[in-house]
Formats: sequence, C-alpha cells, structure tokens
Amino acid sequence: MFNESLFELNAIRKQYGSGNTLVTVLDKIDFSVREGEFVCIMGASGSGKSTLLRIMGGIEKQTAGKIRINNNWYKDGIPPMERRDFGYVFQQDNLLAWRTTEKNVNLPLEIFGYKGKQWKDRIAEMLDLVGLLNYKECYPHELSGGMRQRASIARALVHDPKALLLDQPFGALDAITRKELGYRLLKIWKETGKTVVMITNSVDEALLLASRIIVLSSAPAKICHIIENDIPYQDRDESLSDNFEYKRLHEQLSNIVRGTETTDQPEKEFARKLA
Amino acid sequence: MKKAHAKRQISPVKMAAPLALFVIIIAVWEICVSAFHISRTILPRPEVIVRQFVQNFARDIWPQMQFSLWVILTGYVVSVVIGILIAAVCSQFKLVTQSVSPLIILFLVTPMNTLVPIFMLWMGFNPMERILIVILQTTPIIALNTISGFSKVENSKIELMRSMGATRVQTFCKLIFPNALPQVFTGLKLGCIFSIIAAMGADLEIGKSGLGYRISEYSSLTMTEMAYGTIILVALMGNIMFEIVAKVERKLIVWLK
Repeated sequence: MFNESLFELNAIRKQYGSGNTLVTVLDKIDFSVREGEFVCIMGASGSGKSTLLRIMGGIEKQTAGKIRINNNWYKDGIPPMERRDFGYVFQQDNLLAWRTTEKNVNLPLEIFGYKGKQWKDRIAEMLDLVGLLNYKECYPHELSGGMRQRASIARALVHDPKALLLDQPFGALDAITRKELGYRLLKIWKETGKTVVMITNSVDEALLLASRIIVLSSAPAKICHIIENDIPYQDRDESLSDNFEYKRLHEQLSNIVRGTETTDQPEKEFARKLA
Repeated sequence: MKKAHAKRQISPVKMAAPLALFVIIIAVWEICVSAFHISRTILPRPEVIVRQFVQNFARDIWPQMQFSLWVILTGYVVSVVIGILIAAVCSQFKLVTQSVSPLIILFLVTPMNTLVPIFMLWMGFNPMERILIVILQTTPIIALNTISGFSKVENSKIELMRSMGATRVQTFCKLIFPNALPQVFTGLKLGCIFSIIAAMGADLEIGKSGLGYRISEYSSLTMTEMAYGTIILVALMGNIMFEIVAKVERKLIVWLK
C-alpha cells in the first residue's frame, strides 16, 4: 500500500541554550515517513512534538542529525526551496486578517511564484475540497474557528505539496467540530493521497486517521513506541468505536501516552534556568 | 452566498448630534456676549466674526491660506515618505532602531520654537524653512508609530512565512507592512495634527506670511473678530485633513471587526 520512503530523519537532536542552561528537547530521533502514509505523533505535552514537526517543516533547524528529502541529506535545517514540498498547518488558525479566504489560500502560490490558470483554478478546487467555496470573499474574523482551520488546510494543499504537516490542528476547537473535521481530513487524505504527519493529543483522532502512530517520551524525547494501526480504512467511520481492534488499540495507546506524562516539562525548565 | 460583512451605515443621529451641539454653542455664545456686555476685544459675537471674515477673506486671508496649505501639505507628504522609510529600515536592522529611536524622540520632544531662531540664522526668511520645521516635527511621530506597527507581529505569522521559505522582502510586503497598517494610520492622523501645529508655530516665530502670522497680527491690531475667524479656519483645515486621512483609513482597513 505504501511506497518508498518520502523523507527520513536520522539521529535528530534539538537543544536550546548553552552551558548551564542547555536543555535537550529531542534526543535522538530516527524515523522515516513512507509516501502516502498517515502518521500521527503523540506524546506528553511539552515533549517536543511541535519542535520535531517544526524541524521537519523547516521552521527550525536541528542541533544535530540530518534529514533526507528528495534524495538530499540536510544537516543544517531544510533550505527554503525544499519547503515547497510541505504544507504546514498550525495550531491556531494562522490566516492573515487583512486577506479574504481566497487570497489567504493564494498566499503560497504568491510566495513560490506559481502563476497561470491551472494554479488559479486550484484555489477554487481546494476551497471546494474543504467546503469553503461559498466563503471565499469572507475575512477571517467573519469565519468560525473550524472554518478558519479548514481554510488553513486548503492553503497548505494549494501548492500541491508532497506532504502535509499538521500541528494539533483541531486542538483549539470544540469537541463536535473537532470530530467533524477529523472525518473531513480523512476524506481529504483519501481523495488526495498526500503523505500526512500530524501531531495530536487525542487517542480517538490518532486511531481514526493514522496508519502508524509514533509516541515520543518526555524530554529529552526519544521515540518510545511505534504502533501500527491495522484497522482497515473502510471500517473507519462513525461506528469505529464499536470495532474490537479499535477498543484494544485505544486502551493500549491510552496507557502508553499516559505513561509518558511526567511533571518535568523542558520549556518551563529552560525558562526557570534563565530567570 | 452574499458577502457576509455589513456596510457601515452612517445613522442620521450620528450626523445630527455634532451639528446640534455646534448650533447650541453658537447660540449660547451670542446670548452670553450680549447679556454680559462682553467687550469685542475679548470675545466678539459670532455674527460679527462671520460677517467680517467673509468680507476680508479674498484680500487678506486667501493668499495666506494658500501659502500655509502649501507649507503644511508639502511638509506632511515629505514627512510621510521619510517617516515610513526610516521605519522600514529600522524594522530590518535592530541596531538601527536602537540607535535612531532616542534621536527621533529627541526631535519629537523639543519644541520647535526653540530651534526656529537657530534655523533663521541659517536660512533667513526662506519659505523652505517652514517646511523643514513641519518635517522635523511630523516625521518623528509618523516614524515612531510605524516602527511600533512594524515590530508588533505575532510570532506565529513569522513562522508561517518561514514555513514557506519566504524571503525577507516577501515577508515585509505580505506580512509586516499590511499588519502594521492600523498603527501606521494612527501615526498619519497624529501627523496631520503635528504638521499644522508646527506650521502655525513657525508662522508665529518667523512672521511675514502664513495664517499663523495673520492671527498674531490681528491680535496685536485688536481685530479680534478676524483673529477668531482665522483660528477657526485653521481648526477647520485641521479637521478636514484629519477626516481625509480617516476616510482613506476606512477604505483600506476593512478587516477589523
């Protein structure tokens, strides 16, 4: 079902500060993402999940280790040109307030210099995919939180990236919207066949969406568990919670995630040391 | 589905209220002057002010008004350009901001009247002098507000640009500048006020021409009606200038609730 590895992380380490204030957030992360996969990353809050995704998306640079994309290894962060292969969705809606929905989705095309009719058509296509075609002239303050996140997803897809990186995209939304958007994201993934790496703190969400779940320990974070989610995708619908395998995995995963919870949180530790 | 945002309606109450207040003030003014027999050299009657002002407008006021308008508007436009440029450079280089900010504040705080005699030694009665004073007083306030606008960008938005590998220029044009517009317009509106004050101040110090000079001349000749009239004219000019900028602001900044 899944093909060769799309990108690979090798011995990734991330540290902040220096000397006495050195904090190791990510210790030694090795994994590869296969094309077409849906990977969920879970772990205790503050365990560096966001940091890992930001390194993968080129927003931050790793302190040590290398990343492979398109058969090139990068030791000093992902260069700007390569970031076109990703679409990043942030935790809080990250739309530009002065642009309409349509213009917001257009932003990556402007930055990358993708001109031409087929790209312009893609904006409408993506808006339709997330169900916002009727709202393309609205400003962000006129949209609900769920709609804004949908627009962010459309924006992340408009330039036809190889992979979608999502950092707890539904965390700030209410439970019902969250569930709705989960199903919608599943549908989008099935229709577009993109590779997806998503951070979530919801076991339900991970089991609904992911083909593989990676659990990080608390800082200094390592991968402590990798779980293959073998529930067939045609069974993943509203009746999923009755599925036997689902219940088994749910309990297993919940225990694992709870087990990674500790009271030490690296960012707070860092701040305390600086103060 | 139609556009969701509503067009801002100007209710008749909103327009009528200041007008009504204005009429009441004029009426009270007239009554007070007659009732308390206030001398015309202290507080002239509004009716006389209007009558004399209209009579003398073409000959005495209009040429000076043209001159003052030229000084104010030229000074303002140049200030806007320089102010925003300074802010743009500062936003790119933190070191520049740190070294330039105290200087800007210094200009802002120093009353121009103290510097005008020095300029007069340099430039004599050159009309450009007044424009220079307007620029010196107006540029700092525009620059400071714009710098403030440029520096208050949410981190998450910067990360958004970084996630796409945007260049510095792209980040500036697509994020930093539009994000700063509300603050920039605050500076532009304050700039209107400062440029008029600076122009009038320069007129008073240097003399010979301009509406500010006219006001002081009328006062010294106890032509109080004309003095009042000219002051009101200057205030009106300021109001109109402010309103024009506010109107542009409303047209450009449509995204705030």
